[in-house]
Amino acid sequence: MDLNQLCTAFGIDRTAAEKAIAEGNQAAERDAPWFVQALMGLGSWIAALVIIAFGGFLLVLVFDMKGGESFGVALCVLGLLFFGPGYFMLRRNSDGIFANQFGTAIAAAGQAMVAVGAGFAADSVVAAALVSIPFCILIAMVLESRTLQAMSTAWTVILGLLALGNLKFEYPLELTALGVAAGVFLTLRPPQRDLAPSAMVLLVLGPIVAILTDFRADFGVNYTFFFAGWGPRAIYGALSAYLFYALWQCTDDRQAQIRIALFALAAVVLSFLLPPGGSAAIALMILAFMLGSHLLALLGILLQIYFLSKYYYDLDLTLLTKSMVLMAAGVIILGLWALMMRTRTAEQAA
Amino acid sequence: MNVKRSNLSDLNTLRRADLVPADRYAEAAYRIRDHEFWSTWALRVLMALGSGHVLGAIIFFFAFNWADMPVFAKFAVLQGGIVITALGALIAGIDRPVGQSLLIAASVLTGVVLAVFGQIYQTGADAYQLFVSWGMLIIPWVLISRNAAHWLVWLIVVFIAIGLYCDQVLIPFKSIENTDAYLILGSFLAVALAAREVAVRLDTTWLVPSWTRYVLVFAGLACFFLVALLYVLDFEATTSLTVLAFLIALGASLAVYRFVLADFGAFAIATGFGGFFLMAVGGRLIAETIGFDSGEFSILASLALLTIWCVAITAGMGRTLIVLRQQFVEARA
Repeated sequence: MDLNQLCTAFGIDRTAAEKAIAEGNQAAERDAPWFVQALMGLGSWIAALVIIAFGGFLLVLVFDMKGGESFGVALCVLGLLFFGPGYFMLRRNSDGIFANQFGTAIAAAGQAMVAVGAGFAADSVVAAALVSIPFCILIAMVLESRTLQAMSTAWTVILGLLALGNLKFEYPLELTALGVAAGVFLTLRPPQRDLAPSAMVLLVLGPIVAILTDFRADFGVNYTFFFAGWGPRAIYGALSAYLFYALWQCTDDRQAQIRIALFALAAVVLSFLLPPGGSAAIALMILAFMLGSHLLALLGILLQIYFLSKYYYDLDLTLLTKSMVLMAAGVIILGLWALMMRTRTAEQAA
Repeated sequence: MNVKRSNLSDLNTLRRADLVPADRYAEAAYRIRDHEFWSTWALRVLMALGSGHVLGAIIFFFAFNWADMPVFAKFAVLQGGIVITALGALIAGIDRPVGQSLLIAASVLTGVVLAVFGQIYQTGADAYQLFVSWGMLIIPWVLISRNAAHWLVWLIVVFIAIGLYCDQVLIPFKSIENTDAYLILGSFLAVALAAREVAVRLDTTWLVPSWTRYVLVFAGLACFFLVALLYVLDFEATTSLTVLAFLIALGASLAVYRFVLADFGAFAIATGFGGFFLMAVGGRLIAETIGFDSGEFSILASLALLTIWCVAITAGMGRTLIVLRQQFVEARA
């Protein structure tokens, strides 16, 4: 579908659309493909870490502070001194890529320093997470830097999870599953303000926390097929059903709608057969298929490979039961493949 | 007239301009995507996941009963599996995805047979010999299946065989140092990449998908990068040859994917490795000249300089890639 057809189908003013796309393409960072943005994001992370080290050494070596409340307050002040210039550099929205990268790095480092400083001052991870939230909102709502938005959201979410862990919160997988649902909602119904980087962070949050629980058994949840993980499974199952419902709304073809309903049913069943992370990966793959997103497709496949191998290896069941679970999931998936293959062959013949 | 197809990036721009309402965004995205591509993608994913599960179920079923099975039954099961999957591939058709998946399963089972053989008869063979035998035995199937995923399985088997040969023979006998193993593995991947490029030029259509190139470019450069980085961070950890090898591999990748086989994705991967290598070189230079351990001022000055260096490199990478991307697009047009 070209722009003309898109404008006709959705009642968009063609001239306004051409103008918007031409202006959008001038924003170099936004126009860059995802892997270039990821590369630049990684570079910004490294620079931000060096700046944080600079701030830490400045306080320890020059001001002779070695922790405690005064160290925390000083770190907050230093963080604000970094964040302020970074914020204004990005607020000016200059075309200079060096200025943008520098602004991104010092603003990210500044936010992190203020949060960590607050954590030191109050001797609480919760305080660090709470202080990080307004920075995250400010960056997402005012600045145009996608890299900084992703870094800020990720940092805030990580602190939030650490804070919850500190409060002995026992449902990290359920919470992050709700985070994935929020990410799906932001992706399917994006606000006019570009919150795609934050949405992406929320989307990968669930699977990443599920990976971390593999390494952190004390986080509260282990993969045991019968006793844990039902909450996130239910959330991901509902999410998959919702995604198929959204897909169902995109077509008027009755046959196609019946097929989508069958796929939805199968996805819900699979969400209960697979580990929570694997169910999240299924939701990501459905989203990728619906929107035509290569990045989400790649993420979904890689995560699915990881979770399936890890899950079946770790699962506290006899090999025979594992074999039956695998066979059940395999038969459902191959059934869907056969259904889709048949439909496609019929369409091609027609 | 060549009409440009709308993409997700265009749609996002229209959404930000409030020209597409939020509640119709998903529908618009669904309509502009390449239906043929995503339909094929979904079929392949379902096929791979489904057959992987069923194969896993079969393996787990036999694993459950393995200890109680007589030796003859063990080999009968595995070799019967090879015969059934190979025959199944022949019947289903080697050019069809089902046939190709069955042939991949036959290749995997070949490795399992060799492992079980070694386990039962305690042959005393080194692990690399298993992988060498495995890699050699499945070459005909890899060639006749003409499937990129099968080819990747074979590459992984051979990669592990070379790695184990270095680890179990060359390094213990002092023929090479630990770090040289990475150079050998990187060289193997470089040769595989070159072979892939030649094969594509000779109309080997099944190797055309760009991921077959990206996997090799990334993995090959990563092997060279790791040891070169080790040298930059610690001169005594390895030799300067590693840096030379990395620079040759990097230069060749940049030149080939810029001027010969113009491919922005592969070029961006190489640029990324080059950029991060330069960051490390800058860090080392700062450490050697100003130092990170000689007084308060020098530490802070070094960190400040390193920050500017890292930002400059990142910005330089970004600028180069954004500018060159346009040239790649124009060249392709």
